[in-house]
Amino acid sequence: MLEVRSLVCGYDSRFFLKDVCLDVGRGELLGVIGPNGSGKTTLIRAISRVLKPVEGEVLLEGRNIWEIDLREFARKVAVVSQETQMGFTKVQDYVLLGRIPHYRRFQFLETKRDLGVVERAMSMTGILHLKDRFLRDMSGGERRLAIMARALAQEPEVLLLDEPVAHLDITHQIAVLDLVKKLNREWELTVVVVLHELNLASEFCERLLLLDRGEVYRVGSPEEVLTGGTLKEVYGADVLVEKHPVSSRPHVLVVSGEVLP
Amino acid sequence: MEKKLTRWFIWVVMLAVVLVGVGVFSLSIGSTGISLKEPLLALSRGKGDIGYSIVFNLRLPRVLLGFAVGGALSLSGVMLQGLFRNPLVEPYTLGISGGAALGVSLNIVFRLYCRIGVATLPLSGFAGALLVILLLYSLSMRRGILEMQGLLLSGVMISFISSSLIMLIMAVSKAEDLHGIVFWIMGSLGESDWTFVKLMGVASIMGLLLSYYFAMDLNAFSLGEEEALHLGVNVESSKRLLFVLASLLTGLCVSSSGIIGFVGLVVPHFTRMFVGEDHRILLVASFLCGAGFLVLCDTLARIVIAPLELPVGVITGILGGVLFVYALAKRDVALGRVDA
Repeated sequence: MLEVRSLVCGYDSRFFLKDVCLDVGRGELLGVIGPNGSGKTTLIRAISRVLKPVEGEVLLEGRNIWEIDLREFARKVAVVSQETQMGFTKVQDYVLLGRIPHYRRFQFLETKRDLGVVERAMSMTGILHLKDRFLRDMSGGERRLAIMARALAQEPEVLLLDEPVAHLDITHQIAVLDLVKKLNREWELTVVVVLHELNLASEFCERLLLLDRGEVYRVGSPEEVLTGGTLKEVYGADVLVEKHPVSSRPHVLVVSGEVLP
Repeated sequence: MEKKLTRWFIWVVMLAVVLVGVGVFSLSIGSTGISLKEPLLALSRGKGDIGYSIVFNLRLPRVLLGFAVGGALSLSGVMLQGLFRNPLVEPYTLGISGGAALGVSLNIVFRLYCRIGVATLPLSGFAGALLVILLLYSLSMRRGILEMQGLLLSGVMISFISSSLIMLIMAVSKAEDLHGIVFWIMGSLGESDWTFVKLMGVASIMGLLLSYYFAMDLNAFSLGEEEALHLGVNVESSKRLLFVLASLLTGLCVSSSGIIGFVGLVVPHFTRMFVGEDHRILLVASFLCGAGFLVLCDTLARIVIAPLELPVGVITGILGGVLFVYALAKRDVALGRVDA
């Protein structure tokens, strides 16, 4: 579905991503992890056609993404960014913005189908009962769900999420990630999700990509990537990796420097 | 959706009715009092009649110019505020009016209008505006990207530079020139002959139609440039075209009626409070609102100290400012009303 071929890309003369290669299959759920400044967000921006690569290319279904029409691209790939602005709109109107790539030029009014898709996106994300509320009156978690709903209204095949659970409480973290997983399973959506929290990544992703200073450090199952050795090397922190008692996925326990002998 | 459409429709009809009302009111008021039904009667009586010539040659062009300028200024205010996602931006923030004013001041000081003709006044204003637009555009292009923050800052700076230059010109110019410059800077719909009115009318209607091409893009811009890109909006080309469209409209307005401040800032905000953020309704509603507001202010300017006339910019500033501060204080009430 998505192929990243020896991608070099960055801002001005500083290169953030160096020779990144990656293959994301159709219907896969890939988690991207790495320390701050390792290039996670840059990778998402490069895949989502915001940042032009200096070298290499990104292919969507075998086509270079920079040769695909912008609107067509937006019908295939939806992005949930870290930073997004929202005005004084109501939830429903906000989610409706996700239909923009499906409008024809000089089509000003949404059709029944558009409204149907929007309603489904809102009920998927569990915010249908909030549809007439103003976004600014909602909590951070509800807003995040509204952003997800807007992305789903694009009816994408690929969903890119940049830290979708940052600053959320555990209830909403699980709500958002369960939803991502459900979308991935039931709608066969291809998902690339950047996660900061290693244990969430381990719990929810089948495959993980660990970035280190702009390079791919390791790709593989959580068991392969989340080991004490790799984490020590990439994060420079001493951690214990245990087995989660229920899911038996790796579980990372941080250790304060003071208690270490 | 039907509910939304009905609501939009009601707004447009309501604003259009108010607009016509303001127009008729303005036509029937002046130093020679004509009653409300008189304008129509005068027009039906045909040429030759004194009432006809007052209404048709003096007041009607003035009202129509007011509609066109007011509408175009608010429209470009909406476009720029949407584009910059900054509620303080207005057509004049970007220094376009400054450039136009500078052009006209130079014209007056060098007496070009005496030598070549009065028509050079708006032309030199427009040339000044164009020059600023080009300058801003080229200053803010970085590697194929129009940097909006830089654009805004350079605009504000150009605005300061040109107003300082105008002050310099005023300081060294003769008394009779001074009056011309001041009069022009304060703005007036008084210089309205039919050619002008037609040109301005066509331009502002065209502006309104063209702006609708970008209505959805502007809605997407409200999420930020990058998000708009994610929604398939060709951000760079939309930004450029919207900037050029808004600036040209502003340039035309300034060169036809001087600097009439505040309309482009206050009217979009005011309209937004009532009709909402959606540009599909906001564009046309602001256009109608701005047209009505400017003509209303101009009418007041004509009658407050009749037979003398106040500069219309004074009225737009005072009336618009007071109304706006009031509305801001009552903002939640206003929004609550929309909810209900």
